[in-house]
Amino acid sequence: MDDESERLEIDARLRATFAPPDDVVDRVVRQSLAGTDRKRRSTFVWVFAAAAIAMLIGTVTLRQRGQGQRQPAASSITIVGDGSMLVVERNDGRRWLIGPRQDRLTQGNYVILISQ
Amino acid sequence: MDLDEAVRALAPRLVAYGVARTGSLAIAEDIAQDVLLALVRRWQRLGPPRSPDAFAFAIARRRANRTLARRALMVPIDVIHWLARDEPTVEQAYETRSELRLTLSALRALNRRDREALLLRSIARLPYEEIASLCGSSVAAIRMRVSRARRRLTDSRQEPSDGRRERTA
Repeated sequence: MDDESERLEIDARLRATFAPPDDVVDRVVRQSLAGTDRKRRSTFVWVFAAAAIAMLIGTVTLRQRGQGQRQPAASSITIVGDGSMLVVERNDGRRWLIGPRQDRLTQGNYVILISQ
Repeated sequence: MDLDEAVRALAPRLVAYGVARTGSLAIAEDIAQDVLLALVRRWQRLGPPRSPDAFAFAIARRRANRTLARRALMVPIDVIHWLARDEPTVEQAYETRSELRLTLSALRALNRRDREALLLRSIARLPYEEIASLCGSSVAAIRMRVSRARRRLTDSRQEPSDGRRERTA
Protein backbone atom coordinates (compact mmCIF):
# COMPACT_ATOMS: atom_id res chain seq x y z
CA MET A 1 0.00 0.00 0.00
CA ASP A 2 2.75 2.39 0.95
CA ASP A 3 5.47 2.56 -1.68
CA GLU A 4 8.87 2.82 0.02
CA SER A 5 10.49 5.20 -2.47
CA GLU A 6 7.46 7.46 -2.42
CA ARG A 7 7.50 7.43 1.36
CA LEU A 8 11.16 8.35 1.53
CA GLU A 9 10.82 11.02 -1.13
CA ILE A 10 7.85 12.73 0.54
CA ASP A 11 9.41 12.61 4.00
CA ALA A 12 12.72 13.97 2.75
CA ARG A 13 10.98 16.75 0.87
CA LEU A 14 8.90 17.75 3.88
CA ARG A 15 11.93 17.78 6.16
CA ALA A 16 13.95 19.81 3.69
CA THR A 17 11.14 22.27 3.10
CA PHE A 18 10.49 22.94 6.76
CA ALA A 19 14.09 22.72 7.97
CA PRO A 20 14.51 25.85 10.10
CA PRO A 21 17.50 28.20 9.85
CA ASP A 22 20.40 27.25 12.12
CA ASP A 23 20.37 30.56 13.99
CA VAL A 24 16.73 30.02 14.98
CA VAL A 25 17.47 26.52 16.27
CA ASP A 26 20.53 27.77 18.18
CA ARG A 27 18.49 30.54 19.76
CA VAL A 28 15.72 28.15 20.81
CA VAL A 29 18.20 25.70 22.34
CA ARG A 30 20.16 28.41 24.14
CA GLN A 31 17.10 30.09 25.60
CA SER A 32 15.51 26.82 26.64
CA LEU A 33 18.58 25.67 28.51
CA ALA A 34 19.18 29.14 29.99
CA GLY A 35 15.53 29.40 31.00
CA THR A 36 16.14 26.93 33.80
CA ASP A 37 18.40 29.41 35.62
CA ARG A 38 15.82 32.15 35.27
CA LYS A 39 13.23 29.78 36.64
CA ARG A 40 15.38 28.94 39.64
CA ARG A 41 15.99 32.61 40.37
CA SER A 42 12.32 33.38 40.13
CA THR A 43 11.50 30.45 42.44
CA PHE A 44 14.01 31.79 44.95
CA VAL A 45 12.43 35.26 44.78
CA TRP A 46 8.98 33.80 45.38
CA VAL A 47 10.16 31.76 48.35
CA PHE A 48 11.92 34.79 49.81
CA ALA A 49 8.82 36.97 49.34
CA ALA A 50 6.57 34.33 50.94
CA ALA A 51 8.92 34.05 53.93
CA ALA A 52 9.01 37.84 54.35
CA ILE A 53 5.20 38.06 54.26
CA ALA A 54 4.89 35.22 56.79
CA MET A 55 7.34 36.97 59.12
CA LEU A 56 5.43 40.24 58.81
CA ILE A 57 2.10 38.57 59.60
CA GLY A 58 3.65 36.74 62.57
CA THR A 59 5.15 39.93 63.97
CA VAL A 60 1.89 41.87 63.67
CA THR A 61 -0.07 39.02 65.28
CA LEU A 62 2.34 38.75 68.22
CA ARG A 63 2.29 42.50 68.81
CA GLN A 64 -1.51 42.61 68.78
CA ARG A 65 -1.67 39.69 71.20
CA GLY A 66 0.80 41.38 73.52
CA GLN A 67 -1.21 44.58 73.51
CA GLY A 68 -4.37 42.61 74.27
CA GLN A 69 -2.75 41.03 77.33
CA ARG A 70 -1.60 44.37 78.68
CA GLN A 71 -5.10 45.89 78.57
CA PRO A 72 -6.55 46.17 82.11
CA ALA A 73 -9.56 43.95 82.42
CA ALA A 74 -10.63 43.95 86.07
CA SER A 75 -8.98 47.12 87.23
CA SER A 76 -11.88 49.19 85.92
CA ILE A 77 -14.21 47.63 88.52
CA THR A 78 -13.96 48.19 92.25
CA ILE A 79 -15.75 45.82 94.59
CA VAL A 80 -16.22 46.81 98.19
CA GLY A 81 -17.88 44.58 100.78
CA ASP A 82 -20.10 46.21 103.43
CA GLY A 83 -21.62 43.61 105.73
CA SER A 84 -23.84 41.42 103.59
CA MET A 85 -23.84 44.00 100.84
CA LEU A 86 -21.45 44.36 97.98
CA VAL A 87 -20.83 47.65 96.22
CA VAL A 88 -19.55 47.29 92.72
CA GLU A 89 -18.30 50.46 91.11
CA ARG A 90 -17.00 50.89 87.62
CA ASN A 91 -14.48 53.52 86.70
CA ASP A 92 -17.07 55.29 84.56
CA GLY A 93 -19.08 56.01 87.74
CA ARG A 94 -21.82 53.39 87.47
CA ARG A 95 -22.49 51.58 90.72
CA TRP A 96 -24.36 48.45 91.79
CA LEU A 97 -25.38 47.40 95.28
CA ILE A 98 -25.76 43.67 95.62
CA GLY A 99 -27.33 41.99 98.62
CA PRO A 100 -27.82 38.34 99.60
CA ARG A 101 -30.24 36.45 97.44
CA GLN A 102 -33.45 35.30 99.08
CA ASP A 103 -35.40 32.23 98.11
CA ARG A 104 -38.70 34.07 98.41
CA LEU A 105 -39.31 37.74 98.28
CA THR A 106 -40.84 38.98 101.55
CA GLN A 107 -41.26 42.44 102.89
CA GLY A 108 -38.04 43.91 104.17
CA ASN A 109 -35.79 41.52 102.22
CA TYR A 110 -34.87 42.74 98.82
CA VAL A 111 -32.08 43.27 96.40
CA ILE A 112 -31.29 46.74 95.31
CA LEU A 113 -29.74 47.16 91.90
CA ILE A 114 -29.11 50.78 91.18
CA SER A 115 -27.48 52.10 88.12
CA GLN A 116 -26.20 55.64 88.58
CA MET B 1 20.36 10.59 26.58
CA ASP B 2 20.90 13.66 28.75
CA LEU B 3 18.81 16.81 28.82
CA ASP B 4 21.14 18.89 26.69
CA GLU B 5 21.24 16.25 24.01
CA ALA B 6 17.47 15.81 24.05
CA VAL B 7 16.86 19.56 23.69
CA ARG B 8 19.31 19.83 20.79
CA ALA B 9 17.74 16.86 19.02
CA LEU B 10 14.20 18.12 19.49
CA ALA B 11 14.66 21.81 18.67
CA PRO B 12 14.90 21.61 14.85
CA ARG B 13 12.06 19.13 14.62
CA LEU B 14 9.83 21.24 16.85
CA VAL B 15 10.48 24.40 14.85
CA ALA B 16 9.87 22.54 11.58
CA TYR B 17 6.65 21.07 12.94
CA GLY B 18 5.55 24.52 14.11
CA VAL B 19 6.21 26.04 10.67
CA ALA B 20 4.32 23.21 8.98
CA ARG B 21 1.36 23.67 11.31
CA THR B 22 1.18 27.45 11.51
CA GLY B 23 3.05 28.65 8.41
CA SER B 24 4.98 31.14 10.52
CA LEU B 25 8.57 30.82 11.61
CA ALA B 26 8.14 33.31 14.45
CA ILE B 27 5.18 31.43 15.91
CA ALA B 28 6.98 28.13 15.39
CA GLU B 29 9.96 29.46 17.35
CA ASP B 30 7.69 30.54 20.21
CA ILE B 31 6.03 27.13 20.29
CA ALA B 32 9.36 25.30 20.25
CA GLN B 33 10.67 27.56 23.02
CA ASP B 34 7.65 26.92 25.26
CA VAL B 35 7.74 23.18 24.65
CA LEU B 36 11.44 22.88 25.42
CA LEU B 37 11.11 24.97 28.57
CA ALA B 38 8.33 22.66 29.73
CA LEU B 39 10.52 19.66 28.96
CA VAL B 40 13.49 21.12 30.83
CA ARG B 41 11.38 21.85 33.92
CA ARG B 42 9.78 18.42 33.84
CA TRP B 43 13.20 16.78 33.43
CA GLN B 44 14.72 18.68 36.35
CA ARG B 45 11.75 18.21 38.67
CA LEU B 46 10.73 14.62 38.00
CA GLY B 47 13.44 13.20 35.77
CA PRO B 48 13.20 12.43 32.04
CA PRO B 49 9.79 11.52 30.66
CA ARG B 50 9.35 8.00 29.33
CA SER B 51 9.48 9.37 25.80
CA PRO B 52 10.82 12.94 25.53
CA ASP B 53 9.68 13.07 21.90
CA ALA B 54 6.09 12.12 22.72
CA PHE B 55 6.08 14.51 25.69
CA ALA B 56 7.35 17.42 23.57
CA PHE B 57 5.13 16.86 20.56
CA ALA B 58 2.02 16.39 22.69
CA ILE B 59 2.59 19.92 24.02
CA ALA B 60 3.58 21.28 20.61
CA ARG B 61 0.42 19.88 19.08
CA ARG B 62 -1.79 21.52 21.72
CA ARG B 63 0.04 24.82 21.40
CA ALA B 64 -0.24 24.79 17.62
CA ASN B 65 -3.98 24.05 17.82
CA ARG B 66 -4.47 26.90 20.27
CA THR B 67 -2.40 29.29 18.16
CA LEU B 68 -4.35 28.47 15.00
CA ALA B 69 -7.66 28.95 16.80
CA ARG B 70 -6.51 32.29 18.21
CA ARG B 71 -5.14 33.39 14.85
CA ALA B 72 -8.44 32.65 13.14
CA LEU B 73 -9.94 35.35 15.35
CA MET B 74 -7.08 37.80 14.90
CA VAL B 75 -6.58 37.62 11.11
CA PRO B 76 -7.88 41.13 10.31
CA ILE B 77 -5.56 42.66 12.91
CA ASP B 78 -2.61 40.68 11.55
CA VAL B 79 -3.33 41.86 8.02
CA ILE B 80 -3.33 45.50 9.12
CA HIS B 81 -0.16 44.88 11.10
CA TRP B 82 1.67 43.43 8.10
CA LEU B 83 0.39 46.10 5.72
CA ALA B 84 1.76 48.78 8.02
CA ARG B 85 5.29 47.45 7.57
CA ASP B 86 7.43 48.68 4.71
CA GLU B 87 10.12 46.04 4.48
CA PRO B 88 9.71 42.29 4.65
CA THR B 89 11.10 40.74 7.79
CA VAL B 90 13.38 37.72 7.92
CA GLU B 91 10.36 35.59 8.73
CA GLN B 92 8.47 36.90 5.71
CA ALA B 93 11.42 36.25 3.45
CA TYR B 94 11.62 32.72 4.80
CA GLU B 95 7.92 32.16 4.40
CA THR B 96 7.82 33.40 0.85
CA ARG B 97 10.18 30.75 -0.39
CA SER B 98 8.22 29.16 -3.19
CA GLU B 99 8.82 25.58 -2.16
CA LEU B 100 7.63 26.30 1.33
CA ARG B 101 4.55 28.07 0.03
CA LEU B 102 3.66 25.26 -2.33
CA THR B 103 4.13 22.61 0.32
CA LEU B 104 2.12 24.54 2.86
CA SER B 105 -0.62 24.93 0.33
CA ALA B 106 -0.58 21.20 -0.47
CA LEU B 107 -0.62 20.34 3.23
CA ARG B 108 -3.59 22.60 3.86
CA ALA B 109 -5.51 20.82 1.15
CA LEU B 110 -5.21 17.59 3.14
CA ASN B 111 -7.74 16.34 5.61
CA ARG B 112 -6.87 17.80 9.03
CA ARG B 113 -6.29 14.41 10.70
CA ASP B 114 -4.31 13.07 7.77
CA ARG B 115 -2.11 16.16 7.80
CA GLU B 116 -1.53 15.90 11.56
CA ALA B 117 -0.56 12.23 11.32
CA LEU B 118 1.78 12.92 8.40
CA LEU B 119 3.55 15.80 10.16
CA LEU B 120 3.99 13.82 13.37
CA ARG B 121 5.44 10.95 11.34
CA SER B 122 7.54 12.76 8.74
CA ILE B 123 8.75 15.83 10.59
CA ALA B 124 8.47 14.90 14.26
CA ARG B 125 9.63 11.37 13.42
CA LEU B 126 7.46 9.80 16.09
CA PRO B 127 6.75 6.06 15.94
CA TYR B 128 3.26 5.08 14.77
CA GLU B 129 2.37 3.86 18.26
CA GLU B 130 3.09 7.25 19.83
CA ILE B 131 1.20 9.10 17.10
CA ALA B 132 -1.77 6.83 17.69
CA SER B 133 -1.60 7.54 21.41
CA LEU B 134 -1.34 11.32 20.84
CA CYS B 135 -4.19 11.40 18.36
CA GLY B 136 -6.40 8.98 20.28
CA SER B 137 -6.55 6.58 17.36
CA SER B 138 -5.41 3.09 16.46
CA VAL B 139 -2.02 2.32 14.93
CA ALA B 140 -3.67 0.89 11.82
CA ALA B 141 -5.74 4.04 11.33
CA ILE B 142 -2.66 6.22 11.70
CA ARG B 143 -0.74 4.15 9.18
CA MET B 144 -3.65 4.56 6.81
CA ARG B 145 -3.81 8.33 7.35
CA VAL B 146 -0.08 8.81 6.82
CA SER B 147 -0.10 6.70 3.70
CA ARG B 148 -3.11 8.57 2.27
CA ALA B 149 -1.56 11.94 3.04
CA ARG B 150 1.70 10.98 1.35
CA ARG B 151 -0.14 9.81 -1.74
CA ARG B 152 -2.11 13.02 -1.96
CA LEU B 153 0.98 15.13 -1.54
CA THR B 154 2.65 13.22 -4.36
CA ASP B 155 -0.41 13.72 -6.55
CA SER B 156 -0.54 17.42 -5.84
CA ARG B 157 3.13 17.66 -6.67
CA GLN B 158 2.48 16.15 -10.10
CA GLU B 159 -0.33 18.54 -10.91
CA PRO B 160 0.77 21.13 -13.47
CA SER B 161 -1.08 24.22 -12.38
CA ASP B 162 -2.18 25.55 -9.00
CA GLY B 163 -2.47 22.22 -7.21
CA ARG B 164 -6.03 22.86 -6.12
CA ARG B 165 -7.58 19.78 -7.68
CA GLU B 166 -10.02 18.24 -5.26
CA ARG B 167 -9.96 14.53 -4.62
CA THR B 168 -12.33 12.42 -2.68
CA ALA B 169 -11.39 9.32 -0.74
